[in-house]
Amino acid sequence: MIDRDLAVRLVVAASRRVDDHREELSRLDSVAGDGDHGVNMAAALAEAARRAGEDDHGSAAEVMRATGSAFHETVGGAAGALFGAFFGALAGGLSRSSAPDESGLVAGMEKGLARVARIGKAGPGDKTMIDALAPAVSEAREAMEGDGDLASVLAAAARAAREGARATAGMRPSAGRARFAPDHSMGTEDPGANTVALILESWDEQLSSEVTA
Amino acid sequence: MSIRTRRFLNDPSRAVAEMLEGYVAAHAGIISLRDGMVVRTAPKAEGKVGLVIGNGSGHEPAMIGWVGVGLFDVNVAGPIFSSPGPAAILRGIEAADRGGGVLLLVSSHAGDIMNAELAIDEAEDGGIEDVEMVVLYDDVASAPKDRITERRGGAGLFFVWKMVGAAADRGDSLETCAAVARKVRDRTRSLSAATGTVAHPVSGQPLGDPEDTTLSVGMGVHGEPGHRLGEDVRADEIASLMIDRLADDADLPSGAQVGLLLNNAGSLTLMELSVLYRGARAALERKGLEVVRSWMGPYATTLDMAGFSFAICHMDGELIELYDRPARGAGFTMAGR
Repeated sequence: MIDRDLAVRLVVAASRRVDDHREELSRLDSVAGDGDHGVNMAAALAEAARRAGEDDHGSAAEVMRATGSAFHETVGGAAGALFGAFFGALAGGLSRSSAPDESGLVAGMEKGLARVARIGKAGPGDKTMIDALAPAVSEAREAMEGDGDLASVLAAAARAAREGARATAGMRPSAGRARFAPDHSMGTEDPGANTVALILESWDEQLSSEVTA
Repeated sequence: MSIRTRRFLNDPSRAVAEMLEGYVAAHAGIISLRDGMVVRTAPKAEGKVGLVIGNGSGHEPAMIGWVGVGLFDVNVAGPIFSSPGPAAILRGIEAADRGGGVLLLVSSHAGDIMNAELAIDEAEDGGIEDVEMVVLYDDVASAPKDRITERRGGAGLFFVWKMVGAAADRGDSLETCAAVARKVRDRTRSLSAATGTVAHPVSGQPLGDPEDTTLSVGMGVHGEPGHRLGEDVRADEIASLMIDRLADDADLPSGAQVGLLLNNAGSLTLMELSVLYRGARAALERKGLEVVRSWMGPYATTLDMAGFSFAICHMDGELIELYDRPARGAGFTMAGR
């Protein structure tokens, strides 16, 4: 079950991981963007972790909803809008049950992917966060349907997201600000896809460490 | 050639908040800070349309300098080069509401549009009706003419801001103000040029390649790369090339009246601006176009970028009337004619 405390630990783990990679993400963004993706994502997740820890959230869904709001209120920009929408959808998936498990998480991720695609007007192959998120969602569902537990669902999602993020290096951007510099961004991975991979990897590791412990 | 990385700031992550405090304090009679937003000190009369714009910071005087009489009612300044989030834009819509409807003007950039749409959804959910959004674009380098709605916003939008501000100030309806915004947008074109780049004040990352010192045409307002011209190109040649492209794209009839805007993207000297303006004016006159109004100076900057943009607006009687109406903001004043 994904209870409130686990959700808080996941948000804190994501915040730490993205903060550790802040400069690398900003550098990726400077190639065809404005060079602040790492700073913005780290700021939003730090705020999310602060709210998750301080506020009196009763459920995992409320923690994820507060995380979405932190993105919308702290950073703005396209990434703030999209990650905020994703965490809001994740909260929706987790709120469907009083004892949410991996099925609520996967449902939330699917809804989040659909929302990000709609708001961002992008699809697979456009060199955006969707190129990490879409394979992660589909691998997570497959792992779940193969009777995987939460840890194996997150492991599958993290692996697929990382592979998806790596593959963006060979793509030409056709959505977002990077589309104005298609040639400049060739050979460089998409920063948003990397943030998706980092978050899911941090969740995978958090779960593995708890299972081992 | 190197880019400037030292700035006179305190904690860079607090730079936007401290800028707003200082700027508003210096112009207290015109603007105030409310809930992190720049608002008019003396609100517009009841019943008139409220104008809101949210945008990334780092483009000053856009848009903090354009709040005031005959201009915007509220500016929601976001982080550097990033649109504010939907919650902040929603607060801006609420603050601008004087009972005559609220018009949200959006310069076309992915994040600005997404956050504005999310804010309007939330406004509707919260029972605020009469909110309309117009997405504006003018940069001919960002998409071909047959995909004009994919173009991004540039400095030419100052024609829109000025004229819609005047329409709202004289009491035009929400519908009319939105129609003015679309009309001016459809008659405006811009194109930018720069040499070198600038560093992001918070992350320290350069926007684009810091070693590249060629002159480029068609960059975006966040340093998105453009088409390289070369190392040594004369101002007249650049001005003429840019004006040709703008006039062709706008499909102006000979004898048309135009407004000409020369925007300083940050660190050009008045000497360079004046030489460029002279070249552009000559290029327009060679095409049989009449320059009836002109602006020259910093409007939409990219920090201290060594660059500029030209914009032309195809004027008519209605637009000239709106252009000439008085306005008073901290960064822009029009005495009126």
